Order: sequence, then structure tokens, then C-alpha cells
Amino acid sequence: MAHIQIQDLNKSFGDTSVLRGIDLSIHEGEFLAILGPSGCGKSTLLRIIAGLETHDSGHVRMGGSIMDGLAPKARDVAVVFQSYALYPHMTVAQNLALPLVMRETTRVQRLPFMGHISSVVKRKRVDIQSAVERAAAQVRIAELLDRKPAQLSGGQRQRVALARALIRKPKLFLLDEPLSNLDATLRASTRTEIVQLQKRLGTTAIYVTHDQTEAMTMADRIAIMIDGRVAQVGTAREIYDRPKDVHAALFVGTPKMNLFDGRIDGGVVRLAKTGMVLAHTADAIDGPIRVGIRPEHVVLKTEFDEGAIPVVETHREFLGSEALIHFGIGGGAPDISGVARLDPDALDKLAPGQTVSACFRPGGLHLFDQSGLRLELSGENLSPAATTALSDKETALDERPIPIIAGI
Amino acid sequence: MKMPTRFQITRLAILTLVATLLLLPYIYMVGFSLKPVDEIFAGGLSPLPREFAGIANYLGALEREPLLRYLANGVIVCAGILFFQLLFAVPCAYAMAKLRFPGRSLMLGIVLFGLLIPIQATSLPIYVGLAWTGLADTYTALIVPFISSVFAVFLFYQFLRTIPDDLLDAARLDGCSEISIIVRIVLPLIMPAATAFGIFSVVSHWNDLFWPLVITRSPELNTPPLGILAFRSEEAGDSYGELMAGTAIITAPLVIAFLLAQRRFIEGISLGALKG
Ligand SMILES: Nc1ncnc2c1ncn2[C@@H]1O[C@H](COP(=O)(O)OP(=O)(O)O)[C@@H](O)[C@H]1O
Ligand SMILES: [Mg+2]
Repeated sequence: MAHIQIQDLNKSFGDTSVLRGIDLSIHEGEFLAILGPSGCGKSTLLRIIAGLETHDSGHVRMGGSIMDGLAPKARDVAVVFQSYALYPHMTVAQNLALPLVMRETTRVQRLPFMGHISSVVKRKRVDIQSAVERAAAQVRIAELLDRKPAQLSGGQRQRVALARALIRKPKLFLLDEPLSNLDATLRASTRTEIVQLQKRLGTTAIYVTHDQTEAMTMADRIAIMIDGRVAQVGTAREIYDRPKDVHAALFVGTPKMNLFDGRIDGGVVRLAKTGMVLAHTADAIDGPIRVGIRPEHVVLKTEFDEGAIPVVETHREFLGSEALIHFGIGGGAPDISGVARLDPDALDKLAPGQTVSACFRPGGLHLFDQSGLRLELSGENLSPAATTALSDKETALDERPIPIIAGI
Repeated sequence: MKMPTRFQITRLAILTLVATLLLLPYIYMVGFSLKPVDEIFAGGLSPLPREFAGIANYLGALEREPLLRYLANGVIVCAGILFFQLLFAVPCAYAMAKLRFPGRSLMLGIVLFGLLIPIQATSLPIYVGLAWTGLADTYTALIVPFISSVFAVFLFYQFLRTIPDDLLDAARLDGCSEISIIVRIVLPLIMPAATAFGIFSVVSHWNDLFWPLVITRSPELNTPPLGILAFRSEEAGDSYGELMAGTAIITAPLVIAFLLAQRRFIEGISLGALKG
């Protein structure tokens, strides 16, 4: 258990800069997910925290003390690797025992015959044996202790890797995409199990993944990492509702947030291509912006109210609990496209290819400046142009509130 | 029982024929070692003796030359060479395959270059060096030139590259030093390759005639091939039965060793470190 602080961490491999000024702070006992696309430097960051990789500048602190330059074994950190990294020539019991054997016995005590000579060594070996059995019981692999890794299924290997990490009660767990080699069902059940285990042990954990569902369902907080930088840190809810940055906005949520080029002039937020009015704001900042709307915040209707935007359906997807309508905006400029999420029953009210009107739910509009940072316009000022139309519930195609996290 | 197909029969026949051809000298050697001298000279194609003189031949061979001493010499020299070869080559290959340090690719280049140089090319300077230090004509002189094997480094390097880095990182986190990693993780994993290399090394040094001939003079240091040489030159001509018995004794340890380690040997040359 420890409070982890990462401060202005930089790392390059040759000319490629992989980590660029990472600042991150993890509370004691917290489960933090690092979420980002593959190649963004997540594993490198994890390896630096573990001491397996050196960094160019910055600091890693654990429980207040600086870890820089300390060997991995001196850090009291356990890693669960994506490949599990079980020792193939050892049985499960030997795999689990190794961390304890290496840490709790001296070189001399490890000699094979010492168990017969010294009672101290004998007692230590008995202790290790019972620790192995306890750890195995915690992840329910007690009956597999005599097998070699090659004789285990993927899920069982994954459990052995977990047990090997928790057996020596480290201060910090680091997990690098530990579920990516499992099938979907197993992944969902193991997700819950890992979280419960972590909460029971109370050990701080950093969990690296490129899977937003994993991050959102497991973590106390998520750090979105894009291109070697931390784009946003917060709870799943905070990141989904108020993404700080256009990359974070696009990375979280399926399907992706709709993103349109827009501009503000004289307090009016418009679509750049068609000039259609999206909202009014009292803040006097003019210039090009980007406008994001999550698919479930788009409302399609068959009636045209004032301020609504005409859109043409191009493609529909029925997903069981929800439906997606892909649409193009404006008759003359179909190169702007977007997607709306609605109740599957609403599909029947909409003929394929029909032109309908689109508006958005209040507060559903995210504005980003040209560099991708969120523009904070105060809620009162940002009034959706078509809010009035929304109160007219009867004609809206999309009536049922839709859960924010899609079940994947 | 299922009838063998025609393909299987043909294949078996061809394999038997080739194997017989290759084994023929060996079979005749063993056959002659069991025959009295006059029967050997009488000719006849059967390797089986009409009159059994095996015991006399083998006892005679052991009496005439200290063959057991030569065998012991062979064991000392081959074991010494193999021990040091593994001691140096495994950590060296580990460092080159898995650690990052400046000059690594240069080192690998030197190893590859070393593969091209035959012992005959370096034997003269080594001979001079050993003679100068007064080590010529000792066990040390028989062992020292071979203790660093570029072939072993290269073989283990190739093998070690198939071990994932995560495995070694896991061991580092579990508290292993680099030495413990070699002893606890790397060595067990490269065991098949080490066995294969061990057989190559033992066979070539057991059978080596060139270097022992160059560096030793005292008969007590005779290695098995030198022993056969000594045997033959002393009693040229009439004691072929004993000579064959001596040869059989000297080659037997290798044959037995190979038969015992056969399965590991084949694993070693056909597999990477990690199965499945
Ligand atoms: N040892 C290394 N040498 C050179 N480049 C590396 C090394 N390790 C990682 N990289 C590069 O760093 C980038 C980030 O890698 P990584 O941290 O593994 O990303 P992630 O885990 O997010 O997929 C990648 O572009 C990768 O090619
Ligand atoms: Mg990775």
C-alpha cells in the first residue's frame, strides 16, 4: 500500500519520444486504470514504475520516497504481464514460491540440502509452502499446484500470474493488459474478480489497458493517455461527461462522439460547413472550434421545429438493446456525417432514407478549441437553439434514456 | 494389426540399407574383436566368429596398453572442456541476447567471425604460448584452448532469443539477481540445447587427434585416439583382434552416451527453449 506520485516523467527511445511530461498521482489503495490506444507508452510507463526501464528525467515516488534508479526487486512492486510470464519449467507451486524463496531466504539457505540440516530453513520452507497454498486458494487454483504452465488453460495461467503477484504482499500491483488474451466471457468475470481481490487486499493498483470497458468498469479513476501524455484523469463519469480534450472525448464512448467543425461568431455557435445554428452563448469568443455531441444526445424527430437540423439517414444498425442511425447533414452537403443512438423501437417510426430533423439534448454539446482543449463556456450562456422543441416529447423518436456505458 | 503400406515398407528398406552401410565398419570392428587372428586373416565375409576369442582379445588389449587410463584421460579432458565451455558460453550468450550494453553488436560480429576460424589456424600461436608458459604436455594444455567456444555462444544466443523478455523481467521483480536468473531460469530452459551442444563437444574432443598429438608427448597423457595410435604402431601386423578390441573399448563410451542422451539430443536440435 502506498501513495504513488509521478512527476514530469520523460522517456525517449533514441529519437522517438515515448513519454512526454507525465504527471500522475495515485492514492493509497486506489485502483487506477491507464487507458490509451496501443503504442501510446502505457507499458513503458508501467515498466518505469516497476524499475524495469530507466527514464530520462522526472521522478517516481512511492510513499514519499524517490524510486529513481532503484532495482526492481528493491521496489516491492508486483507486475502481472500480458503474457503472464510464468516460468515454463516450474510447477505452479514452484512459480508461486519463487518470489518468497528469493526474498525470504539467503543464498546459503536456498541450497537443496539445507532443509535437512537447519531447523530455521525447514520452518521457512514450511511457511512458504503454506503461503503458496493460501495464495492459490485466493484465486481458486489449489488443485493445479502440481501442474506445469503448459498444462493450464489461458484463464488458469492468468490466475497463477495473479497469485504470484499477490503472494508476497507488495506495496503496488501493476497489471499490463492482463485480460487481453482471454475470451470475452472469461474477461467479464475476471474483471470483477480482480477488482474484488484488490479491494479486499487494499493494495494500490495501476491497471493498463486499451479497452475502455475494462477501464470504466474496474477503475476508481482513469488516466487517459494519448501519445505519451496524460490527457485527463478522473472517474469514468467525469471523463465521459466532461472530456477535457478532444482525444479523450473520442477515445471514451462507443460509438465515438460525433465531432463537427464549427465556429463561433457574435455569440452564435454554428456548423462551419452549412452555417446551421447549434447554440447561443454570451461569451464573446469568436473563431473556429470543434463541436462534439455524443450519439445518445442526438435526438431525431419526424417533425421540423424551428432551429432543428435536417438530416438524411444513410445507414442503420440494430444492436438489440439499442439502435444506431448514421446520418448525413443537410441536403446539399452530405459530407458531414454523424451517428445517433436511439431506442430500437424508434427504428420502426423511421423509414430508411427519410429526411428527419435532428436536435440535441441540453448540455449534450462539447466545444473544443483548435488545439483540442475543451472550451468552458458557462452552462447558462450555452443555450441550445432547439431546447424548446425537446419538451414536445410526443414526437421524439428517442424517448427512453439510454445507459451511458454500452454493454460490451 | 494394420498392414504396413507399400510406402512404409520401401521407406523401412531404404533406411535399413543406409544404416547397415554406415554401421558396417563398426560391425566388422566388433566382429574382428571377437575372432582369433588366423580367422581374421583367413578372410570370409561373416562378421560372426567361428571360434570365439573375444575374452582373450579384450584382456590382451587391456594388458598391452593402459586403455583404461586413456579412457580416463578422455573423460577428464572432455569433462573439463565441456564444464568451462558451459561456464563461459551461457552467461556470455545471455548477456548478448538479453542485456543492453554498448558494443553488443560488435561482440556478436566477433563471435560470428570466430565461427569461421579453424583450430589449425590458431594452433601454432597457442602452442607457442603454452610452451612458453611451461604448460605444454599437461592436462591444462589439452583443455585450455577449447574452453571458450564461439559455437556454444552462438548456439545459446540463438536459443536464448526465443525466451521472452517478460519472463526475465518477472524473475527480476521476484527478486532474482542476474546470476540467479541464469541459474534458475535460463539454464533449465536451455537444457536441451546444452545437451545437444554437450554431445557435439564431447564427440569432437573425444575423437580429436590433432591437438593432443601436437601438444602432448608423455604417454600418460594419451587421449583415446592417441592410445589407438600407440597401440597400432607398437604391434603392427599380427594382433588385429586385440587392436579391434582396443578400438571397441575406446569408442564404446561415446556410443553408450549417445544412446542414453538420444532423445534430449534430438529435442535440443529441433526445438526452441519454450514448447507450445
Ligand atoms: N525497448 C524499446 N526500444 C525502442 N522503442 C520502444 C521500446 N519499447 C517501446 N518502444 C516504443 O515505444 C512506444 C510505446 O510503447 P509501449 O509503451 O509498449 O506502448 P503501449 O503499451 O501503450 O502499447 C512504441 O512506439 C514502441 O515502439
Ligand atoms: Mg503495452
